[in-house]
Amino acid sequence: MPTEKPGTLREKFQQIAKQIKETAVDFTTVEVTTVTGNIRHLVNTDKTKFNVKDIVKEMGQSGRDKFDIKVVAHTNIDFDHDTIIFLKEELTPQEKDMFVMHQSAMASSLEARKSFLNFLREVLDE
Amino acid sequence: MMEDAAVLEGILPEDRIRVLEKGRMEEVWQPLIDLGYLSLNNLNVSATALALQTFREEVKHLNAFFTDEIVWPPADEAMTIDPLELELLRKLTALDGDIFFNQIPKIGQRDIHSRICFYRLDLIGLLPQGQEIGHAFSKEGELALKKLVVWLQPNALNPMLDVFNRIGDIPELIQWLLKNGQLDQGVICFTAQLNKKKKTAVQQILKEESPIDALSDIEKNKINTIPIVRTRGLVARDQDVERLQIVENHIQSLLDELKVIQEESLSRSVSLSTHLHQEQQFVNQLENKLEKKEETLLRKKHQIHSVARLSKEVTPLQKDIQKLSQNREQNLPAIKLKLEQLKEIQDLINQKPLLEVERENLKNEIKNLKKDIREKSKNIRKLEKQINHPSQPRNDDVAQKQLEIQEEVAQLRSIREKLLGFKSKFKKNLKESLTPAAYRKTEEMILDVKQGNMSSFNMISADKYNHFLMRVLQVYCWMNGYYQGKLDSDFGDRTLDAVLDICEDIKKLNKKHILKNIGTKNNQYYILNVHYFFKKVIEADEEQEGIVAAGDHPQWSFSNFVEQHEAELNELHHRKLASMDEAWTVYTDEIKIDITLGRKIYQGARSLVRSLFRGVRRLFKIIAQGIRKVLTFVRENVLPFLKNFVKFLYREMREGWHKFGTGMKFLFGRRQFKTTDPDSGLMVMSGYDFDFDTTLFIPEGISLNIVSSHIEKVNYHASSLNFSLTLIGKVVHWAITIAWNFTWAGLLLRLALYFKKLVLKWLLKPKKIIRAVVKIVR
Repeated sequence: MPTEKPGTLREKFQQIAKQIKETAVDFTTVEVTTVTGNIRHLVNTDKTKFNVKDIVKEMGQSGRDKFDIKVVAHTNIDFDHDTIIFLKEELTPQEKDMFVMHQSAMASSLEARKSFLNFLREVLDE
Repeated sequence: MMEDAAVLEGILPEDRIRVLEKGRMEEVWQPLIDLGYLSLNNLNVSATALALQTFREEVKHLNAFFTDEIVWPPADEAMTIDPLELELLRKLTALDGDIFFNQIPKIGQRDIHSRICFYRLDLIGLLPQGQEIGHAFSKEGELALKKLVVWLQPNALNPMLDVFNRIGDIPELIQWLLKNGQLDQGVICFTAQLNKKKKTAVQQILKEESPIDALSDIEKNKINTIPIVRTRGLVARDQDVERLQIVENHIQSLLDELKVIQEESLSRSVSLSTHLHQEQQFVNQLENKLEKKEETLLRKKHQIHSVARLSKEVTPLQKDIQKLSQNREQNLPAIKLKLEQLKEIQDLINQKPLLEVERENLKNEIKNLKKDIREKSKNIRKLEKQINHPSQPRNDDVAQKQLEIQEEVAQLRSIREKLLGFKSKFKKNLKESLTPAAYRKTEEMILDVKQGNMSSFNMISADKYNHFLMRVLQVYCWMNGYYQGKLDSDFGDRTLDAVLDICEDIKKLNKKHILKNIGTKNNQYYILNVHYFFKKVIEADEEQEGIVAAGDHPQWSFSNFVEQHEAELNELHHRKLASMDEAWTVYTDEIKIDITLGRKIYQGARSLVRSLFRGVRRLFKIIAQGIRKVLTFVRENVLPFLKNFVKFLYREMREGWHKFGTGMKFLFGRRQFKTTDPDSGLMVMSGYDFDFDTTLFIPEGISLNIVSSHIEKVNYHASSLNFSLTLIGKVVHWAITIAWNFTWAGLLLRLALYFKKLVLKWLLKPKKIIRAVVKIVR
């Protein structure tokens, strides 16, 4: 039978809890943006170099005229569930499908945020 | 994931954690053998490494939603297996609809699609003759799919793809069969020589105690051999077994007597059926006679009516005749006088013949009239007699006959029912399940069998669709842990046992209400109400999944069970720690034996969990019934339960461990996901911010299948995060609030409890989301 190490484990758990507390600052809103277009020249196909944030940053620095990018939909959900949805005008059939995917991605984001908040409640409220 | 392993350190023994991470070779072998990568006769390291390499080459082209998450080992470390790879292997061979394909295998190609297709066709008994799972896909394979299209009639754009996916999801397939499989058109028919009626307590004990002996029976073709009990020094149990054996022998002798009586009654019923046939003919003759008599009576009634009408017409005529006769009598003297005068005149004048002729004519006319009157009077008298004759007694007679005939018909019906041998519930279920025409046809078939005419029964039992339905039933039993025998579409004792076990677990299902021997003891011909059976098992599955998904408090509450018995089990665990380890070894040995004997062990997660909890529910039910004797027995022989518990625990721990790792990786990792279209090279990308804000890039012109696959992947990670955070939250909560004076077994039990909730909840959820998304996209 293994020996119990309450002290060590407790420290580990407390460490995790502390880390989580620090990361729970910006959880008031969820934003989901779906964009389409041709961004192939921005993406490095090497797995290790792939980063969505870098692509967005580069797009912002390089100016719009260099890219053929369209925002299909943007959703902003407040903590109190106030929701704003920006939707591109005159959606093509493919863009309509993209909007469906956008909604699905939104569900994933909400689930991720909800699970994190539930976790915090579980750990911190006790 | 490796650094996260520290969380479980101190909770599980280190060697067990390693097993959880890596999986056992036995579990890797089976899917590789199932998919034709590995031969049963060549289970060595080099062959396994080669099989894994081939599998990896083929599976890289498969667009499953987590294939690019798998860490593929370098070529020189082929035996290193990523937990997700093991998960993929299991999902590919599971039949719970975990993986959907978007294309059917191409003829002449040997790839993962052809292997899966052949594997699934093999399981449902449609693998073409001469084909093996590792062979290239053939025209015969395509024909088998086409045959399924004819049977299942899918309403999809690509029906062959639809049936290919459908046979990978047996619960869904059964539901489809219930709706579109024309199960209301007949029953399953099969001949068998079944000996078991219901498992006795002794048989149950023997079965539990010697799983390995029982397992090896079938391969050695030792049918009905009694497994040898391995003595464990449990004298009390042996005494119980002996006592039960005596009771069972007594019951058996009673049963034998009953069988003799049954046979006698059967022979009587056969002679009765001959008599019935004669009686039926006699009744038919009587009915014909009655019909003829009724017709005659009707004709006579018509005659009476016409005579009555005629008599009314005759009355004025009579009056006229009377008047005429009166007139004649009055005029007779005058006529006589006249005649005399005429005679005189005649004498006097013989030259006047014309007057004489007229007189003669008149005479004749009068004569005729008189004659007529006499005849008509006679007729009238006759008719009056007939009219006045009483008809009531005749009607009474007819009614009496009718009553007699009705009674005879009722008797004939009851004899027919006895001959059919239907219990009222079986009959009711059959009537509900079949269309009226199909029910009548089934009745006729049974009566034919009773009279020795086997043609219609043989025709149905030899039908390929009949075999297919039996195989689906067998596969369902196998998937849910009820059937451990060979999948052969042959309804033997083991399949009967499986059906009996299911009937024990599902309240509304009784063997007597679905299965019926319509032959004799020596020549057993069975009919199975497959429509009712499938309906009830699907209802039970849905009910169970509903309970789990809704998070309600189920009647058999596993959580209550664990909480109530936690202390008891902990104490027991201390005493039985060695036994528990032994159970683990026995389980591992069982798997090894299964693999080496070529038996397939079903590895689908959902069905396994379901069947496992059915077992626990049964145990709980026994305890809840307050049978102290049984409870004592269970306590003293808790090994089988612990064995199942360990089996569940280790299996689900690893399952959950993967999910936990994925969730942690999502939380603390880079939160970037991409899915590449292998044809165009275009990529869908998702990026999650620290606070879960999302940016989704969908390049123009990319296939929607790729996008939906990407979304599935993201959903899987999100649900994994939920899973791992809930679990870790609970563990942290325990770590902070609960005193550390309980054993690792106690914590293990608690973990098992939460795993049960979480695994079922989150394993079921993504499937629903995926289906919804696929539906929208289509």
